[in-house]
Amino acid sequence: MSFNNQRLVLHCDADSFFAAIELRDRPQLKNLPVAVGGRATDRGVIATCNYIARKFGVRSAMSTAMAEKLCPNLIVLAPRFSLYRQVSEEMHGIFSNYSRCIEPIALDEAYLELDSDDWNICAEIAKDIQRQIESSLAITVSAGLSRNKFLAKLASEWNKPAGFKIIRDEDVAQVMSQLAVGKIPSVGGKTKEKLAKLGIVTCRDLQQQSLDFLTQHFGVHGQLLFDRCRGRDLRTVKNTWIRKSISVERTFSNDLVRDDEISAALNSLVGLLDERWLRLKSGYLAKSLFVKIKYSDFSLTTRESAFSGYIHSGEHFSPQQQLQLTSTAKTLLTSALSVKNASIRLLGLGFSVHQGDQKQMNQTDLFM
Amino acid sequence: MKFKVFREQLLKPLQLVAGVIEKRQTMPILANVYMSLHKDGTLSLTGTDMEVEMVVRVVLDNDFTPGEITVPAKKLTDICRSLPDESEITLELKDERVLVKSGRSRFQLSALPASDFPASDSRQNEISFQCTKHTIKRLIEKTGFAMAQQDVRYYLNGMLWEISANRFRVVATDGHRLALSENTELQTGINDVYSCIVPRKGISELARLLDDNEDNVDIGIGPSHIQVSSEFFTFTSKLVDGKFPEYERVLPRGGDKIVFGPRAELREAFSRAAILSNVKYRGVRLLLNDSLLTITANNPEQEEANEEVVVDYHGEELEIGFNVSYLQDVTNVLESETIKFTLSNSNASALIEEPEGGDSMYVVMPMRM
Repeated sequence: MSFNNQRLVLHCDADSFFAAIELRDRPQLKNLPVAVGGRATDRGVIATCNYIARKFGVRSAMSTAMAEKLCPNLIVLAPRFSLYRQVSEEMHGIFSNYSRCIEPIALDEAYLELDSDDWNICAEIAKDIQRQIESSLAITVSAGLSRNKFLAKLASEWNKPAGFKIIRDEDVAQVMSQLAVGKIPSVGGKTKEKLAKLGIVTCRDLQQQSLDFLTQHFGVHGQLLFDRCRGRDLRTVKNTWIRKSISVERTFSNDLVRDDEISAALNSLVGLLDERWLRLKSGYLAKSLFVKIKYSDFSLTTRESAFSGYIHSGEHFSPQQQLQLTSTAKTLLTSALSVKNASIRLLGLGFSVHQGDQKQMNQTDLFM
Repeated sequence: MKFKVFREQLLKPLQLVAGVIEKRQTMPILANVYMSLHKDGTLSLTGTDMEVEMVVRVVLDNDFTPGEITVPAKKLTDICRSLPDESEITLELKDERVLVKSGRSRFQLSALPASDFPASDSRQNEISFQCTKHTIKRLIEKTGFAMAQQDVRYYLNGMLWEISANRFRVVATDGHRLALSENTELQTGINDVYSCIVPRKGISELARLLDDNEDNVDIGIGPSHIQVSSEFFTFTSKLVDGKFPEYERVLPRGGDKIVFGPRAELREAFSRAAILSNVKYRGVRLLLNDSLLTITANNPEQEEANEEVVVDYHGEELEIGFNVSYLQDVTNVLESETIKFTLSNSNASALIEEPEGGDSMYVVMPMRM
C-alpha cells in the first residue's frame, strides 16, 4: 500500500435522494412506486425513483413516458430543486462535522477523507454520520469505507439502501477477483464490449493481462484498467469542489425547427446564463463558450469555442459581451447544424471556467 | 508524359506546392500535385486546398514528352528529398501509374487523371500593381505574428492589405495587439484606397514563396481573390469576406510617457522574465521609474523573476502589466538599436516603434492587474 495514503476514504451516497425527500414530506406515498421528474407530456425524464419503482425497471435518466409504460401506476412528482439543494447543504454540514476534506460529487454524493487510519474508529464515524443524517434529515445514506475512492464507492454501492460496507486491505483481492469489469467507473458499454471480445469479463481476467497489453489496446485508459482491477486508485480526495463549467439548458416541449425559433431560444439562454453567472460567487473566469444540442433522435452534440477577452463571474455581461456571446453561440450552433440539421429537442449553453486568481492579470482588448 | 530533371530542380518547387496541400482532404485528389508539361518545356506543379492555390513552374531543357497527370504530393516530395544530391530523376506516366526512376531506385506511384483536378476558375481583377518580392516579404515579416489564429472574429484570422496611390500598408491584429507596416516608396497607379483581408494560410504560404530578391511580382486583387505572380509562380488565395476593424481608431494618441530603451537588452530581459511568468497568461509587470524599468514576473508556484533595464525616461512612476510574449514579438521584429515606448496609463495601450517612427508601429494592450 502506498505510504502517503494512510488515511481512509468514506463514500456517502444518499439513497434515491430526490424521491426520499419527497416521500419524507408525503408519507402516504411510502408504499407506492414514486419517481421525481418531468411530465411525460412535456417529454420529461426521471431524475430519481424509489426502490419500489426500481422493481418495475424504472431508472433515472429514463424518459417519463417510458417509465410510465413500465410501471403504469407510477406517481411522478415535479422536482423541487431548491429544496434538494437545501437538504444537500445540511447533509454536507453533517459531513463537515467529521471530516475537513470533503469532495462533493453531486447534490447527493460525496467523498470524505477521514483523519484516522484505524478501521474501527472510521467505521464508527461512518455509522454516526448515517445515524445523524437519518435522525435530522429523515433520509438514508449508504456508506462505503475503504483505502481509496474507487473502493469506497464500490463499498457504498454494496448493499443499498442504508447499507454500510468496509473493504479492508485484506479483503481487496477477494472483492476484486469477483467483480465484473463493468463495475469499474469509466468502463462503459463500448469498453466492456471490447474487453469481452478479448475474453475479459471479470476483474480477475483483467488482472491476468500485462500493462503493456492493456495500454496497447486501450491507450492511456489501459493504466487505469490495470490499477482499478487490482483495487488501486491514487486519486486523492480534493477538498474544494472546483467548478469546471457552468451551463443552462432547456428541453422544448415542441422540437425547434425554424431559424427564428432557434434564434429566440438562444437569446433566452444567453439571458439565463447571465443570471446564473451573476449568482455565481465571484472568482470564476469564463474561458470558452459551449453550445450543447440534443436532437429529436436523442443524439447529442456540442461545440466549443474559446473567446478573447475575459468575463468575470458575479457581474452581469456587458452589452458588448452579450453581443459577442450571442454571436459566438450562433456561430457554434450553425457549425453544429451544418453537420447535422435536424429538429432540436434540447439546447444548452455554458462556459468552461477556471478559478480566477486574485493576483491574476487579465488581458484587455483593443476593440472592446 | 515523360521528363528528366535534377533533384534540385524539382524538390524546391514540390515543397512549395506541397505546403499548400492539407494533411486531411475532403477529396482524395486534393492530396495530389497536378503536373502539367507544356510543349515549350514548362513544367507546372499545382497544389490546392480550394482556398489557396500554388502553381510553380520549372523550365526543362532535356528531351521530354508533354502531358499532364496528378500524383500524391507528399510521397513524391519525400522520394525526391530522400534521393542523393544532384541525382537525376526520370518521371514517366505509364498505364495510369507514374514511374519515378533515379540511379538504381524505382518507384511506382498511383495517379489520378488530370481532368479530375479542380481547375481554378479565371477571375477578374479589380486592381493590379507591381512591387518587389522583398517589399511583400518585409511587410509580412513585420506584422504576420500578430494575426489571430482561429478566432471567432474570423476577419482577424488574416492580414489587412490596404493599397493606395503610393502606399502599401498591411495590418494584423488578434484583438490584444496590433502590428502595422507600410511601404511608401512605390507607385501603384491606384487612385482610391483599396483594401482586402488575406487569410492566415495564404499569408504563410506566400511568405514561403518570397525572398529578398528585388524582382517585381504582379499583384492582382478581385472581389474575392488575390493573385501574386511571377515568371516562376502563381499564387492565388481566396479573401476573407468580412470587415476588418477600424484599426486607426485604436492607434494610441496623446501618450505622455515616452521611454527610450535599448532593444537588445530589453528583448533579453523580457525573455528571461518570461521563464517565470504564468505559463498560460504570460503576464509581466513593468514598473517605470526615473531612468529605470523593472520587469517582474510571478507564477502560481510563487516563483519570481526581476529584471532591471536602464532606460531614458523622466516622468511620474507607472506600473503596467503586459503579456510578455507580445513584448518579445515586438522587440524581435524591430531593427533599431533603441526603441521607443509611448504610454499614458496602466489601462491604456502602449505604442512601440523605432525612435524616428520607421515603417512599422506596434500597439499592445495591457493586462489588467
